[in-house]
Amino acid sequence: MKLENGVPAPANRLKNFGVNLWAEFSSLAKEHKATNIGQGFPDFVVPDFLQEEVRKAVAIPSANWYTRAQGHPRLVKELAAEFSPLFNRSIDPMSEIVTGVGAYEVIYAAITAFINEGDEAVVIEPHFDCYAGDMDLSGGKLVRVPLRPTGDAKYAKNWTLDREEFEAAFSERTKMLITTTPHNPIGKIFTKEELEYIGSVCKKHNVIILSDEVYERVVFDDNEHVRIASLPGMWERCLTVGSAGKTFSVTGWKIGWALGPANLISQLQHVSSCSTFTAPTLLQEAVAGAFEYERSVAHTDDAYFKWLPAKLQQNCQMLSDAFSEIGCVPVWPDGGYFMIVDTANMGWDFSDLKTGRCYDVDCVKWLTREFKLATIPISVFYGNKNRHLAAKYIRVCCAKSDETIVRACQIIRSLKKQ
Amino acid sequence: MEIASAEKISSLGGPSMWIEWGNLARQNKACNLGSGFPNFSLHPDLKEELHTAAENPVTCWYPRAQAHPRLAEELVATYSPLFQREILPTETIVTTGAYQGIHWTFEAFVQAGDEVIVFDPLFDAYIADSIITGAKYVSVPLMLESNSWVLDKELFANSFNSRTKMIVLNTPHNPTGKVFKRDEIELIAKLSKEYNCLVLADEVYDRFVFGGYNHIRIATLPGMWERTITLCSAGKMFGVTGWRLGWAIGAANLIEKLFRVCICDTFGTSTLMQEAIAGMLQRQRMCSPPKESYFIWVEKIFAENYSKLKKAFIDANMPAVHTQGGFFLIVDCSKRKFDFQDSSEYKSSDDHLDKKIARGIVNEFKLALLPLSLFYSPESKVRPTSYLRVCFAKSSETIDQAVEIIKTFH
Repeated sequence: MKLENGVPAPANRLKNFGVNLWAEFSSLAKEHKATNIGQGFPDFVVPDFLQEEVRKAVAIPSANWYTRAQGHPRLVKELAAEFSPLFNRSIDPMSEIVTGVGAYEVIYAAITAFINEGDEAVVIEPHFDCYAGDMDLSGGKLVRVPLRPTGDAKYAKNWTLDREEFEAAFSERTKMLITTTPHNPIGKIFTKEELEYIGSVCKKHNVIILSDEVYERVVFDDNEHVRIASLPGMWERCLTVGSAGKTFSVTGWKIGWALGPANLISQLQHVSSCSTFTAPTLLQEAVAGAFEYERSVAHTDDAYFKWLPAKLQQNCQMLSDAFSEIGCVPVWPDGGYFMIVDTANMGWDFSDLKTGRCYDVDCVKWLTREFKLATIPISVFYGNKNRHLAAKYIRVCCAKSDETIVRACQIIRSLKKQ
Repeated sequence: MEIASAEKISSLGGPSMWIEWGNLARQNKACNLGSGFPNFSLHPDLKEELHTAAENPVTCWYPRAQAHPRLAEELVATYSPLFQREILPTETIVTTGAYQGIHWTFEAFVQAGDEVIVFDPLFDAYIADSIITGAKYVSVPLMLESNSWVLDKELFANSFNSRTKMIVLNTPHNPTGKVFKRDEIELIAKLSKEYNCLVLADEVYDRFVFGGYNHIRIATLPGMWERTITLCSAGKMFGVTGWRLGWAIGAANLIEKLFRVCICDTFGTSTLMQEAIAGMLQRQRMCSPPKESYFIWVEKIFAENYSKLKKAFIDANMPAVHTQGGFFLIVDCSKRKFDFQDSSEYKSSDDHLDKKIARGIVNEFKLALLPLSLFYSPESKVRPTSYLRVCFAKSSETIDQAVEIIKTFH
């Protein structure tokens, strides 16, 4: 038996585990008390209607006990009511919805449910890093296809797939396609035409589509968030993932869900019945209440789903202006929480530090240490092969309080070229 | 469209037993002593901590993946004396229920080719996790001798070989209520060192041990800290199983492996629940005088419940097996006859006696209990069919209602 420190070594499925950059950068930000526009959690004051839903949930005795494993009845019914019109179908709450401890767990469940050792999943790159960890645990392999800037690279909508490259990524071992829209980190919202194309390739290869749509409520300008599962013939192969944390800016609640056909959803439930069994009842109850409240004010000025995208767009504009003023080139997003910024023009060079890390990692650490500004390096989101496509980019988060955004802009404006 | 699920998932087989028996209880609107979770109202201290946490903005933000800092501090302060060592924050990790701690331990350490020793009867998660990680589980049954559950030491020793990776030790034990004795724990320790295995110590009922018995933490025995992962449950401890909160404690290099799974599957669990439990643990630590502690309060309720139920069952000619801790009573349902009105299933079914009786009791008397045979792994070489598992960790009202029902058994 293999040993490590004199006791049994971990299972092979942990072998690809690398340094976790999130933990590293989060600690660094805290250590330097940095203004944090890095990690994607909103730090603004939570609106009272959400606090009120928690207060109401806390008063329900049964909210302290186990609830239905597939999803708390009140929450799945609210999700069905909310999403049925958005998918133009009648979603069955009891068989076509599963909830989890954050969209994070739902994504883990989806990959674990379908990926065998040796199976492949095509993923559009750059991508949220948890997909890679989940594939590793199941012994699967990610095949990455990058978005490439075409035309004016200053707009996220112009970062597109090379269709030949995309189709070449599929093989007889491909089980799944993973897509994120609105996209993290680039902020692209895939158009209907792009999703129809992607869907047609997936149908041809008979793969499942895991559509990570956690930022669905944050759409800028006159863009439209298109749900691939709502396109003709696509529902049967799509798992659409959503997040209460990102929808209501309460990332600490850790409640997420997947919507899809019963035969796929039931497999996710098998996984979560081995891992967490069920998400906290109290918080599922609060999320249900939040959706119910939001629907009651949907067409008024109190609508959170109107306030959120407008606010985040305003924040994004402020950050974009500040970066542009000093000579960086921000990539204007279609929506979502993030914006990537090209720092190449600044002439910053960290090679003499000899850290052995990529430019963006050195750059982010430097900005944190010297300027108390926390951002995220783009490296986290790429495999080795295509990292060069965004070599000098960093990612910033616009889902932050006014105070954080104003302070961040001040710091950005103080940065100088070299 | 048909897409095959991953083999590890399809190997799990059909729906869990909890679904069938949960449905029976629900359909009959039964007084439910089948499910193993407390249903009493929140203790006032806990209610206050929950309200305070709900008003704290930090509970809306992502938790630190390994543990919310305040909870990490409280775990170190609470458990260092219990483990008789200075526990470091790197030696703790918060889980979504102890349930996830079991899953992480299997995912982190167990793979195809490994064997895992489990004691039957058992909590079914150990089997599900063995299956999805590709391991073979080796069943060692606890034997009933003189109305107590004992470990057959020779049988246990013979279940080890070079492929044995881990032993799952659940003490106090679900479903039997056995609190493993010192000589049994020393044997488990001795063999785990001899065969260089890990021990998954599922100690979710560690605070619920009857007078005269001691809960022994195997991780405190010589040479065991470095090979034991101990799981605890806030849900069981404070009667809030719906909060989904637990933690694993162990040597840093073991906990670090659980962390690797953590950052793939959930990356931290609800900050709100962690903050509230941190507050509650702090209260318990600072509790002065100790007689006002939550644990004293709940111990009194459970002792009364246990006593009332045991008597009611004895009066109904269903004697209880001796129990030492945990949430459950095991009663013998074979010593008396049941005259169910709908006796068709009872008389003709090939199913186990305890299942037939449990179904009869829930359908006719609207009292949900669980047949003990459900808790035996498919590979178990023994499967007693004369016992029912009864949960006494319920509100006094529920227990009183159950007692009244039992009086009507004919």
